[in-house]
Amino acid sequence: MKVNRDISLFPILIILVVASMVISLFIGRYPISVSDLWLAIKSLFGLNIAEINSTALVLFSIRLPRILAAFLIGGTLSVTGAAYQGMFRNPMVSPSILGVSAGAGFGAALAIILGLGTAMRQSFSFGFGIVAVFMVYFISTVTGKKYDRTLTLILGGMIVATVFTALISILKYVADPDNTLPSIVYWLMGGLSDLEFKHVHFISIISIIGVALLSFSGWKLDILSFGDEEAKTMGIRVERLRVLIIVIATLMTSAAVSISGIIGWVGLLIPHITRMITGHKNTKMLPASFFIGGIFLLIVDNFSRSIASMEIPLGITTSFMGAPFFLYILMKTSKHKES
Amino acid sequence: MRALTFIIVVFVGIFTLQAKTITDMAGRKVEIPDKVERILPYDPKTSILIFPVLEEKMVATSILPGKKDYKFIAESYKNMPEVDVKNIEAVLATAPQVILFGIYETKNNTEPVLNLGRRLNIPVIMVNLSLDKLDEAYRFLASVFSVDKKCEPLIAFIQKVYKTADSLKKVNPAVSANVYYSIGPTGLMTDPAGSQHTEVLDYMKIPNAAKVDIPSGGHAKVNMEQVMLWNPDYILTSNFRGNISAYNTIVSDRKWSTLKAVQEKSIYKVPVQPLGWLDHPPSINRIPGIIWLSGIFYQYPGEKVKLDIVAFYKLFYKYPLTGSEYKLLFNPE
Repeated sequence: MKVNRDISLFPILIILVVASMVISLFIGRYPISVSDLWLAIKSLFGLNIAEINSTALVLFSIRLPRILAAFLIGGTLSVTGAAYQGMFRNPMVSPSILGVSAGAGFGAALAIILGLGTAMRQSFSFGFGIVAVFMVYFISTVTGKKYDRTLTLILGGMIVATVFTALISILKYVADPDNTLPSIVYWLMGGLSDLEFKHVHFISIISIIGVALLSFSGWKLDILSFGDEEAKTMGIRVERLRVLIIVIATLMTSAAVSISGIIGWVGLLIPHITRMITGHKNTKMLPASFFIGGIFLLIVDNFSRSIASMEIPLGITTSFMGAPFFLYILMKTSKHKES
Repeated sequence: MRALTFIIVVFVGIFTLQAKTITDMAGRKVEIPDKVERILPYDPKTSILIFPVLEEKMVATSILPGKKDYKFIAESYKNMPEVDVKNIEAVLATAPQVILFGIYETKNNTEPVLNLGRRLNIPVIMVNLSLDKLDEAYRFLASVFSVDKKCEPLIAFIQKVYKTADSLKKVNPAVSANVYYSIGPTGLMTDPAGSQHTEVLDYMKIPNAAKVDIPSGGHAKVNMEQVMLWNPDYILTSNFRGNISAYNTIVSDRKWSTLKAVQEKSIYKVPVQPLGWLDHPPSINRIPGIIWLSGIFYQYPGEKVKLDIVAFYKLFYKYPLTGSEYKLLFNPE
């Protein structure tokens, strides 16, 4: 029975991903009738491009990129969270542990204050996310000789995140309350309403390569879970593995956050849910958490963009839907264990 | 004992001699010095209100966050020191005799200003800044600070604007077009119907396309699908600080191209110098907004719009607006 479940997990996940994407395509504020849909498909294949078809526009230029991005971002945040939890041997760790979100947030806020456009805002946020993690790594190498490396990384993350959070507060304080301040606040709450196809290219390349690399390093993470010394005796170059994971996870998280703004909770919650399904083996758990995280954020974003005429920030919907969902899973699995 | 009573009586006597009691526009009884020479406006909206009539008595202007360059306003306004009212010592350093605070009919948060006045023992006077009561605001300032001569032309101007707007609205009772008011850099943030920021639209009876189902104080984030659903006939973009990226996106991006407003090229940049014509801050700077929208939605002739706007800048901003500067208002570089 166990073997059977192992084999069928990934096909099931892929079917679920495709199904939820197709269903999501039909959810939204703009009503789409069946005849519209037919016209839209025709226009997609170049049969009816004389005039711009609103339905085609909604489906393929507005919803589709957003659906793909929601999936990729959710997946990215989950898989990096899972990798960090493995690397730090700590279940309370999330992708932002090394200050990447605070750095990215500062970059975005700075770009908004300077009145730069969307492209620059993303570049700033991506860049500062990387800068923040670089600073953390630097702190940990300087202080790491005497202390445990894991500890110095986490403490370095706290230091850098605190500084960047203060910098964000300064920018919020000097921002114009009628115009730039709401932009900053909304960005910090996360959301995908400004999303376009050109943003999807970027995140898809980084996240797919990243997931593959992380998943292939999964077995090393399994060994690392016994501790640095044990891993070393088993032939793992611990420091190199750590740098590799930090670099990949930072690039992935920065890329995701630079597009979506800060979305908490996914990177912490989804790895736990995944572990309840797949068990602790990282080779399986990492790719599975990518799919599950992607589906989760996709569903949540469907609510964000369609329940009201105003956008509901993703930070709000993820927390509201994630918390009870997690509680449900927790109660269900605890019953399993008893029986 | 007798001596003490005498001293008290004398003190009270001197005090009452130098003070007078007025009723401010919030209906509060306020005791203020008989001759007020130093006035501090609490915020930007009050600063710009009192500048044309009380410039000599203003000890400072108020900081408008994010705003650095003011164009098309008298140098004397730009050169005035700025005071951040959150810094109580900075306020004290300007030694104001009264603090002026602009209010509206509803939704006033008067606690901070009243606290400031109480802690510094400086009387706070409230002035009603509602869009349709700006003439009364100047009438009130005239009576409290004895600046009738300065206020009269301003009151006459405002009343003329009100009258013109009223007659235009009567001739053409319902504007059927609806308007999407885009703010922020991407165009996907709006001040929905009923928000305090779009009072000029409401005043001119121009329907706001953005009807949101969650009460919002303004600056609601919306998505493209929703804007397509509203399908506005007109789009006004707020280009605060001259950032016209939203305007550029709307006129060029394919996603916006299906909107009626874009197809009919009914997209406007809201003038923002020295202050926004629709809000930011919501004060007398909205008067040109009324005149401008009359031109767009009620066929108020273009040359009259120009004359009125130039007259407004002269009276309220003490600035002689030239023809080329007038054009710059609508198409900032």
